[in-house]
Amino acid sequence: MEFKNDAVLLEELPVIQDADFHKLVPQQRWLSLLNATIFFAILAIGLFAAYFWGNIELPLWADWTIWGTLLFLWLLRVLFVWKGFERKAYLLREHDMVYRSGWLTHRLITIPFNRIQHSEIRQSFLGRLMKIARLKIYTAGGDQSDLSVPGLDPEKASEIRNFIIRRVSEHE
Amino acid sequence: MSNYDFSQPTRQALAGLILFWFNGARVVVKNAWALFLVFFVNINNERFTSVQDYVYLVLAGLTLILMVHAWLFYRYFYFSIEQGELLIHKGYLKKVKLSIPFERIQNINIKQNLLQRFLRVVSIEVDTAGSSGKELKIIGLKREQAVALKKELIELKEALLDATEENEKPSEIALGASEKKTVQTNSDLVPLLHLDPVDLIKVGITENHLKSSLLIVAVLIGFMQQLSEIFQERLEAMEEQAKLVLIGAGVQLILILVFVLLAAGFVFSLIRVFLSHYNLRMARNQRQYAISMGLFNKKEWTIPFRKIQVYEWKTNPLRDRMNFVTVYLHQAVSKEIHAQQTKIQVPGVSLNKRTQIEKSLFPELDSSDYQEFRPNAIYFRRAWIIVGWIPAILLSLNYFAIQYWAAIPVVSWLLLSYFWSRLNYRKRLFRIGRDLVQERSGAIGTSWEWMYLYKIQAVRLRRNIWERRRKLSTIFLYSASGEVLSIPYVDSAEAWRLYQWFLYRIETSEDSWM
Repeated sequence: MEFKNDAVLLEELPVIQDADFHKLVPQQRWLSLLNATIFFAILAIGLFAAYFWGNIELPLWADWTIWGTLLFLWLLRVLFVWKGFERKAYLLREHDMVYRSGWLTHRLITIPFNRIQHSEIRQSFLGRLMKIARLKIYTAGGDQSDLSVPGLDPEKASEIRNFIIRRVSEHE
Repeated sequence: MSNYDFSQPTRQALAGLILFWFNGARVVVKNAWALFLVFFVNINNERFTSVQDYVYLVLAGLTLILMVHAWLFYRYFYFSIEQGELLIHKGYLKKVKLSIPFERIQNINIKQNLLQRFLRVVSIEVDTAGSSGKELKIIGLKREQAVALKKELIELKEALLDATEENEKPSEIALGASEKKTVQTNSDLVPLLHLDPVDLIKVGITENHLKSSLLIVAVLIGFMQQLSEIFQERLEAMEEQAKLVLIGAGVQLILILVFVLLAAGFVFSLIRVFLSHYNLRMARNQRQYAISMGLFNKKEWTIPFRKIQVYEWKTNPLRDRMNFVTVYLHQAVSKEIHAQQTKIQVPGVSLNKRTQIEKSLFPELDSSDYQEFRPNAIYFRRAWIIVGWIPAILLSLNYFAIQYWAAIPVVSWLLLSYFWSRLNYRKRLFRIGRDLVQERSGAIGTSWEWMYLYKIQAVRLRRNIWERRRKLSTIFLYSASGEVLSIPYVDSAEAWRLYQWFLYRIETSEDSWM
């Protein structure tokens, strides 16, 4: 393709449309909630263990503060996971992949196919049970610029990955 | 022709043995220095004499093991050039074979630290870019051998590049040949910059001494913490005394302390500049820079222009007056390597030299045609809230109830942070040229970062709650050097158009970003 450097009328550029985005599979919301809960449950168990074996004698208000904070953080996390899920969506286009996320802070990241270093599909133990996979796309731009789409059907994930691999190899 | 035949598996110089032994010993000492310290402090302690012999025995055994390790490591370390690849075999228990195809070689650096200088050997580092790449390092080579290896690798790589280029353009063979000729004559390096001791003193004087002082404090605190784990009791006693002295002497002592720290910071800055930038030389040809610097640890780089992802220059008011800046060349490096190595710092660059560097990196730079973007005023307000008000409120919660004079630091902090945020907001500027983007930032100092559009790796758009309320957005542009350029707090509709335009420019570019 010949590269021309004419000024492009911005109106003519391909536009990312909200309506085109694909939502994640609904199980992902429950998986995220479960993960958050397991994390806080481990914290709580650790705290319990400290109480039982560590001979900790704290005034009542301190006990309340510690457990209250833990409960509050867990609820906050649940709220963010719940609301955040609705925002999470991806879009596969001809030349790039777009991922949208964030409840309070909206984020939108796009990785052009001609900048992809490699891609992989990940499945945690729980993810395997719930039939959910995560697609990760790496660029040379560091962790911040990598794209990670959770909540994909495993078959769909490998379909997307194959598509991406095909497109990437066309650029080389 | 070189006297070395690298097609045969080659060992490192025998002098490297001491280097391997030293490296092994360093790892041991690094992990167990606290133990050694305890041992030497208590060497005359009576309770200790019974185990003393064993300690010596262990030390002797350790030394022996390290010597055997160094010998085996030396024996089983080979490198060679075979079938289009640089090969390294190493290890005696776990055998490792590393290979780098020529086309993956990004650049080759020769370095020498103090010990290597005594042993008359150098290390050679072969960089590959890309996240799956690992760098190769050979640490004990004679200089001539390293130079010959570097030369051969570069020649082989360029031959490979030329071959592929000619394959791609069969119709332009005649032109390609003449081009090659010009490239070869141009591959002689032209000196660009040399810093003599006077320049280094200028650079040292105009450093940020506050930063150096804080660095000293940080190092001291870190050192104290490690020591305190060993000498807990003694230190606690000393601490009590120190507190009493501090309270007694009060403001006067604190002022003296601050002065001493600043003076130490000044000296430290000067020493640091001399250590790392002594005899700095920068040269260039059509394709790359060659940079060397350092007093004890002499460092050498060759950086192809296309490997530079972000070009940056920084200045502060003092340096502005003395008419020189510091240039940073941010390279693309694989993720395994530490961030500090991705940028090369070249201080003491005069305006004239800076222009020369910019012309070589951005030959088609056209300064007339820029579109400018500045952040919305809310950017300033948010910065002031975060650096000014939040710490101020936390401070006053702590102190106000106790003493009213605590208002003085709180109010001065608010004023200081107001001016800082104000300057920061005023200075923030983003420019989009024909093929490149430029970001200006800073408060008292100024920093400019330039990047070609086709070097952008990914684009992100963010709208936080402040931004969403006022229909603003921030765009982040990621480079392969880890540097991130951003256009903060611009109108959402504008940002949205820019976002798609950046993607369009990346996706239609045919240039290789590395």
